[in-house]
Amino acid sequence: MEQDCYDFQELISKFIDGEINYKEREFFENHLSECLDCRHLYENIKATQEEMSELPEPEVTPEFMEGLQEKILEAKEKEKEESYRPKGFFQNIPTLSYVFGACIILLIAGFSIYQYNQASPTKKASVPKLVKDRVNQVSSPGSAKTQQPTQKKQQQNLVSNPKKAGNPDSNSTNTDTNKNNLDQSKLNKMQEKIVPVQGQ
Amino acid sequence: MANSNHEVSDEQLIKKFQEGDESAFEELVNRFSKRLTHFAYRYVNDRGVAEDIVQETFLKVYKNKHSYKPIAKFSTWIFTITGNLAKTKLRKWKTRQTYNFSNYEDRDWENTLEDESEDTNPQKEIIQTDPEVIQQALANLPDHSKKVIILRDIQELSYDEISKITDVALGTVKSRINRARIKLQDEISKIIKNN
Repeated sequence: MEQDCYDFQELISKFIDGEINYKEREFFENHLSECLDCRHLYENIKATQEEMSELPEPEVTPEFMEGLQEKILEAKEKEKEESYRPKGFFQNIPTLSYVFGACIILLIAGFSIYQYNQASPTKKASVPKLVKDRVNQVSSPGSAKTQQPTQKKQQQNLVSNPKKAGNPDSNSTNTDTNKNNLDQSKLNKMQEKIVPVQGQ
Repeated sequence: MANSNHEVSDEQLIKKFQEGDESAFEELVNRFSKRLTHFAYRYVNDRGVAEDIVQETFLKVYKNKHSYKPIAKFSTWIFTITGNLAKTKLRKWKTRQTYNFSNYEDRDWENTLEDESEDTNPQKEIIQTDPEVIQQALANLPDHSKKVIILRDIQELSYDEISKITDVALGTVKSRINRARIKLQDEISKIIKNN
């Protein structure tokens, strides 16, 4: 097929639909008068198009309408059956199922974190709790901190309340400090014993 | 096409049906059953199958009435459904022939119409006297060519609407229709030659 014939064929529908421009029309009409094959092709396409638009529409048969009614009735019955069928709780309220799912995930996550902590090697269970508490009391600076304000308060009371200085109760504070010193020495001994245990 | 002949538009009818008015659905069936059967028949070349396809189409409309959104014409929507069903049916049959572009390039009119003299055009005469030859030739077209040419030259839909129904770009639809028209002539000449 020659290039002109190919170009002509590309323009046939444009020509039929009236979308062809001036330059294309000039080429189209020139080629139409020169090339018999292309002229016949164009004529045949035009004739086919005319016949196609006039092809008789098939009549809709009574069977068609009956069949359609039957199919629609069946669909309606199915719909009714489905609406009567009891639905699950979560089917009615779909958002709840998401909430339920989220709760389960949280529970699982919480449980696994708990399990992890229980099995952790940094666990301090090797030291008995009672001993640990005593050690903390003695060695942690917090204990000193807690003692300091009470001592300061006692000193303040002595300064602001000179009557209290001669008070026999004031002697009791001295005995308390002595007791503390005694406890301190005992605890130091205990700590010495504990250190090898921690080392184990 | 249908809209212009009726006081109530197709879109208004489907809206009524969506609101629960069953008589609106019946009206839509009356308006479209003939056109859709024609379209399906020219597509699958079998009257009974065409009717089945159209029944399925209306059943889909009935069941999925809320799927229609007024952004598109109702006719576009319903033709799309029918076209898809017809395409599926044809695929199941597996009888369609594969389109071969080389045939289009290598065709030889002189061999096809041997008795053709200078001024006569026997193919044109056959087309005009026996339009059934068109139906036979249509059956031999590949699906995508057949669909667009039926929508354009039988249903007389606009290129824009065909583009929406087939979900193909407007330019592609135009060139596809042009090729389909030429290919149809090729098929007609083959049928004439074989007879």
